[in-house]
Amino acid sequence: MEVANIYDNGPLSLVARIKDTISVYTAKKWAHYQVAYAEPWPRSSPLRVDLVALAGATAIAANGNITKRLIPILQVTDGEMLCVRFEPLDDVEGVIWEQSGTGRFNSRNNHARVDMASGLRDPYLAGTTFFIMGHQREMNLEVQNPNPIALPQARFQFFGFRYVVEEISPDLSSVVTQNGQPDKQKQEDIIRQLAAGDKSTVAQFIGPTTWLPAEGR
Amino acid sequence: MSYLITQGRYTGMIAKANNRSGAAGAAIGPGIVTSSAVGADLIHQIPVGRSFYVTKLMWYHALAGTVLLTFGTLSNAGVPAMVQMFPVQVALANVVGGRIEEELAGVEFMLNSVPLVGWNGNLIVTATLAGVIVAGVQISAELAEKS
Repeated sequence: MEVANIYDNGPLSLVARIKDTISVYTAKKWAHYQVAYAEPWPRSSPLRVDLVALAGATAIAANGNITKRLIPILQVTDGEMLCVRFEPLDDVEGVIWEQSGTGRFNSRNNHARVDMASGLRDPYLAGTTFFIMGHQREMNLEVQNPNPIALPQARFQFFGFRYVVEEISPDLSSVVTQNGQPDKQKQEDIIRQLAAGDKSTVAQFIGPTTWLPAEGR
Repeated sequence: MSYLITQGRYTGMIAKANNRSGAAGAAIGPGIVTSSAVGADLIHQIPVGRSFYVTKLMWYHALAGTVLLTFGTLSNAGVPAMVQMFPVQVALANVVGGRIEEELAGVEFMLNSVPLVGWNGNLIVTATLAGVIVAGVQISAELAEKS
């Protein structure tokens, strides 16, 4: 299978193959993993959530919102990563947050939303792609109702790929002092550089990799 | 209207429970409006930032006589007035009538915020029989919203 660029504007494809290396920005640093397993996450009813029901409400108010909340169906464990696209099934707009306080698809003055028209101009929903990586780094979804009337449902459909990844420990055995002892200072520097995502250091000690944004930055 | 005008846009039965009879009448049902003797019965309220085309109209009544249906939107005048958007439609008694997309003109309903002479862009209908506004005409509409 072809490996896609991560936001390819076609059908969602794998961003890395099994045994490929990925470098993921999460928890404010870059971490490097090997893909151990990958499988599709087909568009289906278990990957559908109604935010009105999830909020314990009976409707989303006219021109109102449902405040951001955790989406349990998208929670993962450590070592799991999701690459997901989504769309609303009802006439509402989805606003994504990761780590609950970090917006996705946002800039200094704006926070883009995904609505029912998103799929009309972007039929594969490429512009809705996002990643979720590991336990306690969940995605939160806020919903806005653009209609001047209350709606009884605010359903969202997700689909994508699920990966199982294993963290890579860089081989630093070659980083030694002139007398052949491990160069602790330099090794620590390298580990810091790897966490900072320094491209040449990653190329040297991790190898070819695919860079992924697991969270907003 | 050319099918291409609405192709690719969100089209669906407007069943969002805001249809109502009378300018301030209570919501009566999500998919159908029954005309009131007040007139200017709201069929679809335009969401903020959008516009729409009407892609289908259906009507029925069992009144004694031929009803004339005027579809349009409401002006921004102090006492809002009908701004007619389609030619008057004839509704025969005990006959289901309607218009489909190809038969309707591609009139785009959108907010015109100019005071007094502008309009709110909502789809409304007034039913008259022998010049008198009448209740009891059932009307459904299907639209294509643009956003």
